[in-house]
Amino acid sequence: MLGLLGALPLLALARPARAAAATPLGFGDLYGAVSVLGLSFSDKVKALAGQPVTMRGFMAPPLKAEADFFVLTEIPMSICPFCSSDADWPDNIVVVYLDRAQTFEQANRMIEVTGRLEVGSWTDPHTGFVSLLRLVGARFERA
Amino acid sequence: MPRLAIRDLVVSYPGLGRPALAVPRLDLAAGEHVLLTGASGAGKTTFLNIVTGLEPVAAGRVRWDEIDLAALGEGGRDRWRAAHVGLVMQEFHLFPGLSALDNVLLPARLARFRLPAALSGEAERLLARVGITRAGQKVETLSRGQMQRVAVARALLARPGILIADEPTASLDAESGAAVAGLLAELAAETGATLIIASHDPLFARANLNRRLHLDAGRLVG
Amino acid sequence: MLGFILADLRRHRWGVAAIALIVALATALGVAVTLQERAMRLGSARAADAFDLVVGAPGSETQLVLSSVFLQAAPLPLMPGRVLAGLLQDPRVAWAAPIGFGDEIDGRPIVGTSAPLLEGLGGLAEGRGFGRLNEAVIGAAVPLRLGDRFHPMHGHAFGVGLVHGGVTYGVVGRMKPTGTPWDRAVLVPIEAVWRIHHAEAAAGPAGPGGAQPDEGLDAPVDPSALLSPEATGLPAILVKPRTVADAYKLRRDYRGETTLAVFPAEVLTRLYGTLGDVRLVLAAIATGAQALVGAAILLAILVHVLQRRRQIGALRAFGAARLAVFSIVWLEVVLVLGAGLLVGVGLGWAGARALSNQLARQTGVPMPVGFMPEDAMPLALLLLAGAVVAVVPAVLAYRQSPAEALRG
Repeated sequence: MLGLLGALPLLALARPARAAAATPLGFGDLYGAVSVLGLSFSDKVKALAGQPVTMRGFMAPPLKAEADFFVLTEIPMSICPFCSSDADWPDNIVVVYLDRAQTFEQANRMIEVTGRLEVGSWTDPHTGFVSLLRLVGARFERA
Repeated sequence: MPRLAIRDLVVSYPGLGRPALAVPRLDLAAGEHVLLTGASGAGKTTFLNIVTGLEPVAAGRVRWDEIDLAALGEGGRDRWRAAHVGLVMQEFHLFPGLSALDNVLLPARLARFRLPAALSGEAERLLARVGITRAGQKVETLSRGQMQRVAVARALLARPGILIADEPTASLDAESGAAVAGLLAELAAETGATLIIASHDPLFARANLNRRLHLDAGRLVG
Repeated sequence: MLGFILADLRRHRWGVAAIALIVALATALGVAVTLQERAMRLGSARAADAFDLVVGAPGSETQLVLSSVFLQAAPLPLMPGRVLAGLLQDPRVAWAAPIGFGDEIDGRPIVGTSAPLLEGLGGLAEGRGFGRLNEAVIGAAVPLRLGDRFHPMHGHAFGVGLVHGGVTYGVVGRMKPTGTPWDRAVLVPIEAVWRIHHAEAAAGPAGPGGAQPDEGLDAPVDPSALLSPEATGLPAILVKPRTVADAYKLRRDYRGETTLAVFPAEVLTRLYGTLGDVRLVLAAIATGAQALVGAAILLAILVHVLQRRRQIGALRAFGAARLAVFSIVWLEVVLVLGAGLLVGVGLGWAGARALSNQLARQTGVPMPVGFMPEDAMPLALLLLAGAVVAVVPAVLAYRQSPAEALRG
C-alpha cells in the first residue's frame, strides 16, 4: 500500500522531461540563398535534421479544432501563412506535428515549440498536407 | 532474571515543593515478588513509571542488571521495555474491535513489522493458561475479569523478566480480583520473573509475597 | 499492523465515512470541472471536424459557425447567390455546399443543401440521396422511417409554428451517424427551400393550410441552378478545400466586403481560450474548497488524536515502537483521504457524465467524458498534500509521552 501511494506522484512526474539539449532555431536560419531552383535549406537546417530544436512563432488559426498538427508562422496570422507568395511553400512557416491530438487555445499568441526537426518533402497521408520542414513529436508552451 | 538497583533517585515536578519521589537506595533481588503500597498520591505510579522506563530518570541511577535506564533515550527505553517488561494496568487498555488473541499479539506486531510464527502459538498457550478458552472472541464482549486475564496474557507474551502490575484488581469484583492476583503470582513464579504489584487491595496484603514496600509522600518506608 | 488499522477504522466507521465523503465531494468538484470542460471542448471539436471552412455574409463569426456547423438557429445575413457559383468553380475547392435554414419538423431543423454535403458528412446508411425537390434525407437520430411523408413548419417566431400545409416531403434516405447536431437534421434540396419561401413572399403571409405551390416541388433536382449568378441569397456555404494551403488562401480570398470566410476551428479555439479561463476560475474555486476541507479535516483529526492520547500512550507502554505509532496514525489518515479521493474521482466522473449527457441531449453534440494521463498529476499532488498534512497528527501521536497519556 505504502509503495503504491509513494509511486503515484513519481508516475505523474515521469513524463518525458523537456529536451534540454534542444537547439534554438529561428525562421531566418531556415533557408540558404534563393537560387534559380527555388528555396534551398541552410547548412544549419541540414546539420540539425533529426535533432531536437526549439522555435518561437505564432500558431496560425488551426484548421481543425482537435488536431495533432498546426502551422507555426513567423508573424501573427490574421495574415495568411500561405499568402505571402504564390509558392505552395512559403519560407516563413513550419508545420508542427504534436505527440498526440489535442485542442488549442493559443492561436495568434507567441509560443515556443520543441520537437525533432524533419527536413524534406513529405505528404501527410491523413490530410494530404505536403510540407518541406516539420517539427515532429512536438510539445509547445506559451512563450 | 534481572536485579533492580536504584541509587539517589529523585523525581521532581515543576510547581511542587518537595520531590514526588526520592529513593536514595533500593535493591531488589532477581525473581522477588514485591508489593508496593501507599496512599493515593504517595508516588506509586511515579515509581512504576520510572522502573519501567515510561518516564525518564532525571537524577540518580536505575539499573536493571547491566542496563542503566538513566542512560537510555526515549526510543531506547521503549525498546528495552518491549523486550523486558510486562505491564498490567488497572484499566486494561485492550483494543476493542480486535479478538483476544489479536490483543495479546498487538504489542509484538507493533514492535516489529513481521511477527515470528511461533509467537501466535505462544499467545494461544498463554490465553489457555489464564483461562480464556475462546481466543477468537472480540475483546469487548468479554467480562471485566476476562479482560484482565487477556491483559495478563499480553504482558507475558514477550517472556519478560520483569512483571509490573498497577492496581490490577481495583476495577474487578472480589472473585475476579482474587483469580487475577493468583495468576500474577503463579505466572511470575513459573517464569521466574521479578514481580512488582502496586495495590492497596487487602487481597495482596494476605498474599504470600516476599517483600513489601510502603511509599509515604514519595519516600520508602519499611 | 494493517489488521489493527482496519479494525480501528471499522470501529470509527461513521466518522471515517463522513471524512471520506467530504474529501470525495471536494475532489469530485475539481474532477468534474476538468472533465466537463474537456468534454465540451472535445465534443464541439469533433462535431466540427467535417467542416473545414464556412463562408457567410459579413457579421459575427461565432454566430455563423454556431448556426451552420452546430445548427443553432439564428437569423443570419444573406450573401449573394453568385458566391456559391464562384466557389463551385474554384479549382482549390474539393466541394462546396449551401446551407439554408428556416423550416423545421417537430423541433428538428430542416436544412436546404446539395448532394456533396451528404457525402461530406459521411454518406448514407440506407436509401438514396434526394433526386427530386420534394425528397428528404434524414439524420441518423431523426425518428422517421424511409417512405414517411411530413409537412415542414416555419419557425417558432409566434410560439405556434405555421404549417406549410401544402408542402409535403418524402423521406428517401438516412445518413450514417456523425456524432454532430446534423444527426438531428432533415436535409432537403436547397432549391426546395428557395421555392417555398419565394412563393410565400409572393403570396404574402399565409395562414395554416393556406394555398401553397406543392406541385412546384414535384420536379427533379437541377445542379445547375446553384451555378446561376442570379441564384437566391444564402446564409452560409460549407467548403472543403483541396489542400491545407488552399484552405488558408480561400479563407483570405473570401474575407471581404460581401463575404466572411472562417475556420470553425479558429472560432472554437477562441472559445476554448474563454472556456479555459472559466475552467481556471472554477479550478481555483475547487482548489480553495479542497484547502478548506483539508484544514477542517486536519482539525477534526487532531482533536481525534488528542482524544485518543490514552490509547496511543498505552500502545507505546505495552511495547509498540514509536515509529509504529507514527505509521498507524499516518496510514489511517492517508487511507481515509485516499479512499475519499478515489470515490471523489468516481463521483466527479459520474457528475460530468450526467451533465454531458444532458447537454448532449439538448445540443445534439456528444460530449466524451474521459480521463487523460495528465489528470493523474493534480490528483497525485492532492494525495501528496494529504500525505504531508497527515504527518501533523502522526507527529503529535509520535511525541505523546506514554506516561502522561496513561496518567491523563
